[in-house]
Amino acid sequence: MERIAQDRGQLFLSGALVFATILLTIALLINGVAVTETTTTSQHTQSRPSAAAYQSTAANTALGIINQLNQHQNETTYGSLQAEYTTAIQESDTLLTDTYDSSGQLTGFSPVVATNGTRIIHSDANRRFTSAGGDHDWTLTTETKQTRRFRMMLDSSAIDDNDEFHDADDYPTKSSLDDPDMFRVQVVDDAGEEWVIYVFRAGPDNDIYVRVGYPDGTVSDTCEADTGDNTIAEVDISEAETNNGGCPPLQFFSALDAPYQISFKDGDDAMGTYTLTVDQPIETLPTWNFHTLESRDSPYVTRVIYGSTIAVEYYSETTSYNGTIRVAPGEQR
Amino acid sequence: MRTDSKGERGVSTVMAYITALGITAVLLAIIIGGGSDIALSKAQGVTETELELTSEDLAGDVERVDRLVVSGDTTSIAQMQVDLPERAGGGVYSIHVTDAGDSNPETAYLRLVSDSGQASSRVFVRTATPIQTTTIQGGDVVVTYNETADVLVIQND
Repeated sequence: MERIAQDRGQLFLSGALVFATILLTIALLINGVAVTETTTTSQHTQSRPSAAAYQSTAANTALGIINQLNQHQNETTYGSLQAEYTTAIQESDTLLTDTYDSSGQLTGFSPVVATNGTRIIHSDANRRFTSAGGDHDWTLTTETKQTRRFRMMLDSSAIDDNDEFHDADDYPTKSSLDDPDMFRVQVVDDAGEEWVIYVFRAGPDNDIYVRVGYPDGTVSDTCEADTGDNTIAEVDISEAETNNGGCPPLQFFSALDAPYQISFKDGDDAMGTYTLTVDQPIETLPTWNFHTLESRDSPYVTRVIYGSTIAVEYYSETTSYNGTIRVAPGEQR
Repeated sequence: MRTDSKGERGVSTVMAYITALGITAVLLAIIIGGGSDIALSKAQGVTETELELTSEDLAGDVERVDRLVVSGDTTSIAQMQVDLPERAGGGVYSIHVTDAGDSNPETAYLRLVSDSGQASSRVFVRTATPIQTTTIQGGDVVVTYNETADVLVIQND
């Protein structure tokens, strides 16, 4: 009987050992699959060097240089402006190249072309929007292809009250808004099409309103520019907005057939400040309508770099890029 | 003469062995069968996961090349090498690029299929530049901008 008990015990022990071995094998097998899955996932989360980041850095660097040069407003020539721009780009390229070279990336950016432009500035807030010679109807630019940062800060106390024009339904056409006491910005493009920005005061709060007249004779709805606690309101034509928010009718510049002409009509019916930058050199503007930079009397003009095209190169172990980028601060395309 | 005690009545050594072995065999069959099913389904899941991650990697790099092209005024060279795994789940796989039918922005599908056909992954890609439809083998791939045709081309390296 003892022998039988021993045999039985050995059998159970052997069976248990085999059972445990099998369980262990299956556990190892499933664990191996789980480890493989984890390894597979981690291999796909590695980051890659970014050509797009370098492209963006090069473009932002060029933009910053243009802004810095244009802010100086020193009496200078376009030749010296261009030379300063090229030198600044080269110095920035050298600095960036040293940084990227250390991580195995070959980079470079350089100016291809820089466009000469002019900034027109009316900074005397107590002066009406007439020309330097006092003309009410006058031309600011003649052969413009691009305009940026066209912004006006208007004093509603100097703008005529045209409350009736606020109702778009009653005055749906350009001809119905033809009022000799209303300040207008007129834009005529190369095809002879005319767009008009009407600026008037209306309402009990003396807020400023803007409407746009189209080449087909129709007029847009009204955009409001609150004057708030003072009498000043902002109309940003390049950004198509007022201090109240977006004003989509002002987005018409992208539809213009360039080159185009910008004029003020009844400039004596508006007062405040304005500025705009165009891609025309000073010498091609009607300079008799402006004061010189040296005098700083409004309105005056200053030489700027309107924009630039830069060539950008980026080469790494996995990425190759060679192209050009156009940079122009605040440009409405 | 053998004396049978109360506890051993009706028990013989042979029956004990047969019973124990039989129970063990049944248990082994159940454990091995169930365990292998788990292992096989896990393996297929790993293959699908790998194809899914690979397709997302490829889609990300296609979109990166597209952003380079779109951000520039002109582009003469835009190319990115994508080191995809040669195999997924122990087998090779193919990459199918098909048009999703939209334009502005352009859309396409990147579908990765294992050689057995049992595992696949599909990812949707949206780009400003059209992507040329093609079928290539998985592995080292290069995404290139073709300036003449104004398309993105995915091809084996």
